[in-house]
Amino acid sequence: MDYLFYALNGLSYGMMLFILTAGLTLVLGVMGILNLCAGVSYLVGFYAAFSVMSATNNFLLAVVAGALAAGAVGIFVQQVLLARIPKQHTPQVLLTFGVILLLEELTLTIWERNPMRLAKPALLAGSFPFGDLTFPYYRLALIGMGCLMALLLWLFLSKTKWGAILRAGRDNPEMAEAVGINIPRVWVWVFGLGVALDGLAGALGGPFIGGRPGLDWQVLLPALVIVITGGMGSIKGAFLMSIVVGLLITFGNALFPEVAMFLLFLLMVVVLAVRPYGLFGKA
Amino acid sequence: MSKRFLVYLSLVGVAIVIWAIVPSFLNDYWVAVMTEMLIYGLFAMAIDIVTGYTGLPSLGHAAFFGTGAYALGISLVRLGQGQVTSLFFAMVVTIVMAAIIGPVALRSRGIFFLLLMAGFSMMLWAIAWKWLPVTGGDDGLVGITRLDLGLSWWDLSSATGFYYFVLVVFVLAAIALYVITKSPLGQSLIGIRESESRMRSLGYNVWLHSYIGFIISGFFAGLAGILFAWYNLFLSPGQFHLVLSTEGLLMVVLGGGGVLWGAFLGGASITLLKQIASLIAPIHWLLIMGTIYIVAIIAMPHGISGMIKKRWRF
Repeated sequence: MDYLFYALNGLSYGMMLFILTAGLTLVLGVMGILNLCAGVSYLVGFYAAFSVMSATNNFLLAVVAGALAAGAVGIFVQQVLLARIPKQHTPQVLLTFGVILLLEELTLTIWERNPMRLAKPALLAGSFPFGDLTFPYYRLALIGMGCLMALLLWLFLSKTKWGAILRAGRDNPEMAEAVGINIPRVWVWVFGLGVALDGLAGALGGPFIGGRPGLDWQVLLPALVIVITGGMGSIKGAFLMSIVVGLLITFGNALFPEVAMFLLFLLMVVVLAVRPYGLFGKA
Repeated sequence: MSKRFLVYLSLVGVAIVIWAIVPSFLNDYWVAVMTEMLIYGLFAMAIDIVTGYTGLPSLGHAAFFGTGAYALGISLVRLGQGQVTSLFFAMVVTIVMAAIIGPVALRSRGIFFLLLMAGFSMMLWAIAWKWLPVTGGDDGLVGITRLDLGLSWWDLSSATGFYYFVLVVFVLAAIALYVITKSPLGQSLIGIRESESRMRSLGYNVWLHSYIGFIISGFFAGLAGILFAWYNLFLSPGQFHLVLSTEGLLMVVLGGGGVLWGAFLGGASITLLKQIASLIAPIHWLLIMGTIYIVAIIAMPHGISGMIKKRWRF
């Protein structure tokens, strides 16, 4: 019974990670940019949602606000900063590291240092009995939301015209521009969407993970493991590995807390040792 | 000897003279800062071997820095060994660590290599964080004692005494690294950076050369860690963290990879800037650093050495 409990917890945590990682993977796959700011965007999304929630007590509004706030910051960073550096991973990593420091300090100044938690929406506030324990409705809803998000993203990318445009821009930007697609404009939207997803993850994760300084690294590290083992830019890979990592961290922290984090990074190392380009990645 | 070499040599000579004389005019706090500048300068130079010379940017060299530091610390504090034994132990452990990580890491390139190295760095961080009996976990490893040369006129327990020790080690390490970069191995690494496939078709054993370069890089990063352990007398898991690895890469890139003095400049200046920033803005100094990093990456994508090279055209 306990294991089912952990499994459900792990799944909900994994789904939150998936939404975060989806943003990261989207930007990486379509634009080739490794956006380390995903972690701090998560935090921005959380804090924005928290403020809106405190003011209006409307969960939906708070979540939307979180996503939009993160998206706005992301678009600003992309337009003003990322556009000005060479399109290589090393400068991007270092620039986003600087942005992380900046945003961390800004959020620290505007909101307090104390850990905070977002209130759950009234609709999902209860829990249902589960053996000796109770399991929150909210976490179940999150599992559903994560799967829905994965489905929507997959449909968007493979079945819609916009998805085709994105894939064209990723596969061959020059050709796409030659047929009249405004690649720079598309990329602004992609980056904004990616970062908005990160903020959305922060807002949705608010009720059960909360937010505090340092959380940005704590969610970024599993997200990096997921992205790199799932394969660059693969939503399918990100979904699969999010579940694996969510379960690993939850079971790990419950059963062997000493080695949970170690196992996470061991997973990354082992997967890359066997398949140097990730599970679903191409060279 | 070409005129250019003589110019280089005299610049280096001037630098050594400055680094030798200035500390006698400074108080202990700034002498300690200069000691840190040398330590992180060495760290950056070590990373440069793999990043600038071989062309493999690494986000994980804290793995070696931490290994050197903790190996020394554990040998002294937990295993009760003497200083010289511990020094050799730490060096050997670092080399072994690089030898083990190398074959796995070198299977990847580009972003995968970047993040795989980050994975190793954090794997070791996770061990240091949780293996309380050995590493002390988050509370850290305390009780590290400084090397004692047994010379009455050179007391390493004072800030200035220890500074000169680090300076001597640094100069020797820098000479060794310089000789390595100018050697056939060093040239081979540069060739690998420029075009791995061409090097292979020319018959070079690319894997072996990269592996040796990787181990050398890891060793000197570990040496910087050893010096840090003696300097700080206290270690924490942060010595393995991705943040330190990223700062190391930042030092190389902002100083200018591909030339040892560029990497050193990056390491020394970022260390100095952090101190100055924390004095100007004790609470929000990270804001200043973040801004500096952002502006520097945008303004000088090839680092300080890149700017200097463009100006003086050499």
